[in-house]
Amino acid sequence: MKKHLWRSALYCTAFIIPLLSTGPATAAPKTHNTWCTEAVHLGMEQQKDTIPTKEIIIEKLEEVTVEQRKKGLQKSYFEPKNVVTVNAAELLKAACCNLSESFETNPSIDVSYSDALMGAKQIKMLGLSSPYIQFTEENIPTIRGAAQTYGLSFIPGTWVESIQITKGVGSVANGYESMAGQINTELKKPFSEPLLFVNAFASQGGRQEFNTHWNTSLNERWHTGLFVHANRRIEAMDANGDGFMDMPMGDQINLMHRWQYTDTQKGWVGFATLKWLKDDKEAGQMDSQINFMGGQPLWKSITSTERLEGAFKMGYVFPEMPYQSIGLQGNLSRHVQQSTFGQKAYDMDHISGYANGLFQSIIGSTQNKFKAGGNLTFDQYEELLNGSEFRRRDYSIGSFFEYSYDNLDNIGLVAGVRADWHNQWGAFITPRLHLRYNPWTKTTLRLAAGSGRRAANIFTENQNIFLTNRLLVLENNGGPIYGFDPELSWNYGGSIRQTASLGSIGLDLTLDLYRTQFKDQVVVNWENPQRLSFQPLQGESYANSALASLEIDIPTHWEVRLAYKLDDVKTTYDGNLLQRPLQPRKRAFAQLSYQSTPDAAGAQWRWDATYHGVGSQRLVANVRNPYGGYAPSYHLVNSQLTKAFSKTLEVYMGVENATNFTQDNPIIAASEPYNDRFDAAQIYAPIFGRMGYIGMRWTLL
Amino acid sequence: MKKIIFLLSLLATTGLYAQKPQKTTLEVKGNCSLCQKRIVKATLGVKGVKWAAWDIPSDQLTLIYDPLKADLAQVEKAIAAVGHDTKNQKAPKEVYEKLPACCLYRDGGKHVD
Repeated sequence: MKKHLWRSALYCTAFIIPLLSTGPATAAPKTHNTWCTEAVHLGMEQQKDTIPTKEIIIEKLEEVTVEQRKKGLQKSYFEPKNVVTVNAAELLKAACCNLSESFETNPSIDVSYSDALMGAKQIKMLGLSSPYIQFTEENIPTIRGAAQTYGLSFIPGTWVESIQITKGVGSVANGYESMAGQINTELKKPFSEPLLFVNAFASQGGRQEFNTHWNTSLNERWHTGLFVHANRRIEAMDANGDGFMDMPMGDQINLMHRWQYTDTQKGWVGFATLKWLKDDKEAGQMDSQINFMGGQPLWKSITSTERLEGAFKMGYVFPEMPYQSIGLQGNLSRHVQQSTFGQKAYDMDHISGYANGLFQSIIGSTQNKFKAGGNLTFDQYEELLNGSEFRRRDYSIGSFFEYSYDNLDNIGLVAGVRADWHNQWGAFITPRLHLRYNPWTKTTLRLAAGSGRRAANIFTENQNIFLTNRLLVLENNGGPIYGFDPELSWNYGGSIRQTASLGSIGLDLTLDLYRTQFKDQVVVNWENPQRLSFQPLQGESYANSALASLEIDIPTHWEVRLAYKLDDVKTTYDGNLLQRPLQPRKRAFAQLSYQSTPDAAGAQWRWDATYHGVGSQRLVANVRNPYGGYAPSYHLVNSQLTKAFSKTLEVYMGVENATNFTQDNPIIAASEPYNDRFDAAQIYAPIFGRMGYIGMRWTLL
Repeated sequence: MKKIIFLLSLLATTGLYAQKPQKTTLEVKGNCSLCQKRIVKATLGVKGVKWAAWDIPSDQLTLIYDPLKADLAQVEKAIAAVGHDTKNQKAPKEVYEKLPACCLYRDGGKHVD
């Protein structure tokens, strides 16, 4: 009996971590990470606080040997929000190396290059690019402001424990900025990590990455970890012969130090995290081009970024009332970017602060739960663009209340509202509603609606504007942020999920339909070949997104994923409602994965191949094509093979862009980089062709 | 609006502090996660029960309740009424026989699939 209560207490503390950060219970035993049962998983999600301990159930199931492969992408039957969890096993399928590349195996998120020079990958969800997605790191907003363009590449993939992708507006607890969805990243926790982890990676094109994590426990309550990431690209490559490097050269050092406190008896948990990074990139013309420049200097771009960040969070679960808890979290960061692009210069210094307090309890019983709390945000931006200074201080204070109802059977609801006051645009209300209904046991219907608001940091979010010599025009309307009003959108949508089995084969079909409608937006208008204008939205702007996906689980070794997507993303440019440029209307996705049964020592083979079909994209008018046009549709194939020699040593190798598809002449007027026509931002396909890579992971338990 | 929300959350908080919930454990017969869902639902359906967890391998139901409002005999009755035996209440045979196959704990001992 005593043992049972102790286990309950352990579970309670495991429960508060999902409260602070919606990720999976971190106190779960690490040995059961990859092999687990679907039944346990579903049970966990159904009533996180009513299942005493995960490990007991697993032990029991192992006795009767009901084992099923845990899926890399996990969807819930019971969560009212449309959440897909990407776990660590799934993250390993991506070739490399940071968060921006982690989504290439996921049909919900599109990954593409934002320009021909800087190598930065941008992601899109529901047809909208990353500024319209709210990123959180352990539920603290991140990748905002100055970090918007490169922030994803500043989170090393090996640091990530899991990712939760919420389609639609999501919870009000993290603020008002989410428009198309929320992506939360859970970083690895010292409590559940092995003592030492080492990863090394090298690819064609001179890219090298190195990661090491060291985690240890000081005593029962205190755990600490040090995470070190370094990468560099040392070769200047110009495979397409346009005189420009296909990828920037550069290097990055990225450090994280974490402290974790867990007191299972008293119900306290806490984290303190300190991060520092330095990143340097050099892009532009190859040195050999100097002979063709007629005395002009080479067009080069140097970008140097330094970021320092500290975060803390603590949570308390009332020992006698496991359904009641308090959470506090805070974050301070400074992000400094200094960059030159040919003769242009752009510097950004962003200081940001965030604090959030949250109380969670029940009304009557655990069928009716609520979260209530408040937050403070502070952002100071100092920008210098070709000698013109832009300074701004934003602060906001807000409070929220979120009510959840669960009839413990087939209906769930999350209704939230927040009230905020912002120094630049005053007071406003943000309502958000999520509904879940299971008409039959294997069918889940979800509906969501809500609004989102954000300040568009027009320069730092659109750094590809520096890679063109078009005339930059701010056609502002006197609003508070660079002369513009904040962006405001409503998102409505829903999904239907149906699972079925054909003998031992599991089928999982999902249909997502979402619409994001902008009321206010800062439109980036590329339609005039000589100009690049920021304009307030006049007319309609929306993104309709439909995704059909089918996952087929073939025991015990194979998994197939198929998806088809339609993105109807239209904005009014100069009075014409047009598909947003460089936005494919259609996408197709297929993935085949194999894993062998691990032997007693943990030796295993894993293989996967991923196909992306990218539909035609609208191109804006330019010197090559004065009336605009359409890019050809194309196909990409990636594949990876992993050999695990034991539970502690793995070697992997793979190929990206196996069919070697690249965009012809990606840079417009590449031979005249100081001419008005020069434009390296019209990118619809990879610049870099087939790329092989190899890597290893070693763990000391 | 902001003030209203703050007040609401304060009211809810003080309301909860005012009660002194008690924790107790009962034995409830069952097998699998389907039983778990049914047992927890029946338990929470009793007035005054705030929180419930049923542990599959040990058959232990832990609940937190308001002793002024909830009656533990009512909890046992509610659980037996949906087909699960407790120490003092036996589930009616006709209800038991309609349980899904994995929940038939009276036949063939404990199994959890």
